[in-house]
Amino acid sequence: MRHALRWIVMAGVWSALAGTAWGAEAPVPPAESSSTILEAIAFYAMAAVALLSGLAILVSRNLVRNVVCLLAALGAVAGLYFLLAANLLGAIQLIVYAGGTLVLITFGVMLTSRPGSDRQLVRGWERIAGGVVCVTLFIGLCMVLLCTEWATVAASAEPTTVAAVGRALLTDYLVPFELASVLLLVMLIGAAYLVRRDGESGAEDDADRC
Amino acid sequence: MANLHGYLLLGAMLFGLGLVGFLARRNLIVIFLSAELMLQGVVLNLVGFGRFHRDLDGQAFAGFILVIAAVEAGLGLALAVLLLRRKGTPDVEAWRALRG
Repeated sequence: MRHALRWIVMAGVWSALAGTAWGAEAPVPPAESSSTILEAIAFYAMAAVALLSGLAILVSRNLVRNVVCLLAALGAVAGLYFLLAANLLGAIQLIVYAGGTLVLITFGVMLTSRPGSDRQLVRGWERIAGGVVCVTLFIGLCMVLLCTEWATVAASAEPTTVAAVGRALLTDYLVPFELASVLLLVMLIGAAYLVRRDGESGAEDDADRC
Repeated sequence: MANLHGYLLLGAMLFGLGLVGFLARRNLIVIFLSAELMLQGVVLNLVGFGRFHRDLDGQAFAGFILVIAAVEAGLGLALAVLLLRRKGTPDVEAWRALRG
């Protein structure tokens, strides 16, 4: 089990690196070319890593191992972004998500983990109800997306989309872009407010520190 | 299979796995990780549609979803630490009184 997880994580990291190299080398392969097979192989490999890591999150009982599996899944999905010619998004995923958010989650695990874990699964009937919901939703999703003829356009030829995405963010999506910064500020203040100790106000804390 | 259907199917699978974990596990942190996995499935759908429809809206929305996920991680972990400090266990069963 431990070795399998180690291999999954290694594969996730390597697939992310390979995806990065792929994105740098041949960002947007034409739809019908010799690189299609390579693209398919990369897709299958990263999809397998993402799904296996997701499954490992589901079954593993060790919290730290869960977090590391999420890291592998995020790396694999970042590689898929590179395959989809979303270079900027893949880089953001690796830097912000795998680098920042996951460290935050690791801190959360360290702060909240207690020796002697409790029961891991919900009660019997809740498990059955949850399983029915999940299976129904998944089958419905698959039926919809496999039975629909999605209109697709041939892949574009521009090597990278970073400049175009930046332009879109600062023109068409300027208001949500600014709102996102306000949201981040609100999150910082809210998180700092939530986790302060009871009966401790910011002013007194500052006075104590001085 | 590395076409739009493949990416949509993979997104649906990631979403399903996350949903199972979200509903079946009882540890707050694991529920949180499962929510992140569901978000990954959704973002993969968005980016896939953006790629195969050749427009940038998918990527722009995916970027905003990443911001939301970061905010969710910060606030969610603050809440988890707070709940843990009150009850001393990361088990959601300790908070059954919160159901309607």
